[in-house]
Amino acid sequence: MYKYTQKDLLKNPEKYQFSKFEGYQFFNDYVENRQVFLTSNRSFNIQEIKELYSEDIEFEDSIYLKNYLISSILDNKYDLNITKKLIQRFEVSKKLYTHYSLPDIRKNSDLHHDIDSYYLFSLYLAIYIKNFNDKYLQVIVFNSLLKVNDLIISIHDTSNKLHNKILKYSLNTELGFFNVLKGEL
Amino acid sequence: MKFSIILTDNNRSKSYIQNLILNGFIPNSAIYLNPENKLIEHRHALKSKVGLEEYSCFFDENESVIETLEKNNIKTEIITTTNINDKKIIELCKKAEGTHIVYSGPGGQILRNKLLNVGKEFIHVHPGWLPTYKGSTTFYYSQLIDKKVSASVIYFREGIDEGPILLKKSFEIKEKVDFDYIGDPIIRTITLIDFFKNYKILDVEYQNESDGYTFYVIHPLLKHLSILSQGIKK
Repeated sequence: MYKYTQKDLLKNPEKYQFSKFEGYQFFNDYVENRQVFLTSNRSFNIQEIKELYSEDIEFEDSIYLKNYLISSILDNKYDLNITKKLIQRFEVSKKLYTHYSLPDIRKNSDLHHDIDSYYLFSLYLAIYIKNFNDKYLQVIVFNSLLKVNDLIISIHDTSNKLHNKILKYSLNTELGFFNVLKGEL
Repeated sequence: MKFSIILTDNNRSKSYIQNLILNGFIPNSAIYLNPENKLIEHRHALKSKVGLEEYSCFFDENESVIETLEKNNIKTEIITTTNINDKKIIELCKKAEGTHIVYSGPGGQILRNKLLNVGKEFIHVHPGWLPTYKGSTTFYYSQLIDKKVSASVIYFREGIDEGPILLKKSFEIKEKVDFDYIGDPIIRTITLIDFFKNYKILDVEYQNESDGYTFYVIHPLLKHLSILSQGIKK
């Protein structure tokens, strides 16, 4: 059984340090864990993420993460430095905060329970992997994508249709990249 | 080179101290971090010879760091702390004999300026080809992407893995090995010994903060892909 989505990872962050080697069976467990969320036949139009846009006040010297991710995805504009910093912040804290300061991308708020942000970050990373060919960066992004998807699955509410669609899109990309890497073995 | 060494209860420390002595590089003194104030060291496994056959480098996992130090009459200070930036350690480093201190303390700690400014160079072996592979678990990433592993000897600076590079080596790992407890310590040890053998003739390579990539703790899926790629050529 794939054990990295069994507990609520927002409440109990997973550090992933010194994880045990379980052999080829681990790949089967991982794929099985993801496939549960790929069954929906509903199509996903990327424009649908506009629904998640928030009208809350934004400040010039910070980014409102949710809105920043939506704009970046829809405009297909990825700032490499901000992407690297967001990955760093997520990797260290395993949380996504609602606001980050500019230009150093440090948390500007203690609020980290906006679930939409995790889905949007997952989508953002999935599209990044598809669009950029730098293998080193792809692997770094893939590593964070796996972790944010573990977190999402650990708290996923299947009644939210848009969340279901985003997760399905992201997991399809994740599995696709996994198959590319596995094919190199 | 006159040097001291910072050690703790892990396989990297066992491998460093045993192989440095074996090769005639004896530290003038040692600082031993004993995080839990244990009288007898915990042992992960009781194997008398582990290592990489293909690189003829081994260490005795059954021999504690303290036993090795005592057997070789190396002056040792034992400090009960998990914090490398502890005042006592800073004072001991200031007083340590020699110009250099080899670092093999607990992993994941950041050496702060107060420690870095004691007037010695701290030698660290990073398990990755710098400046390309900065950060954590780079051993696994390198094996996955480049089908080889590397280690780089650097002097510690404030930025993580950003100090001047003194020596770097790459290795193709053909035999199946536990990276965390055997492969990593052995590769770092071979590189450290090479540094000691050649340090007078080495060219220093300086790196910029923006060079290379920063990696974070590897996800178990990537770790499995990396381990299963051992023995595969790029």
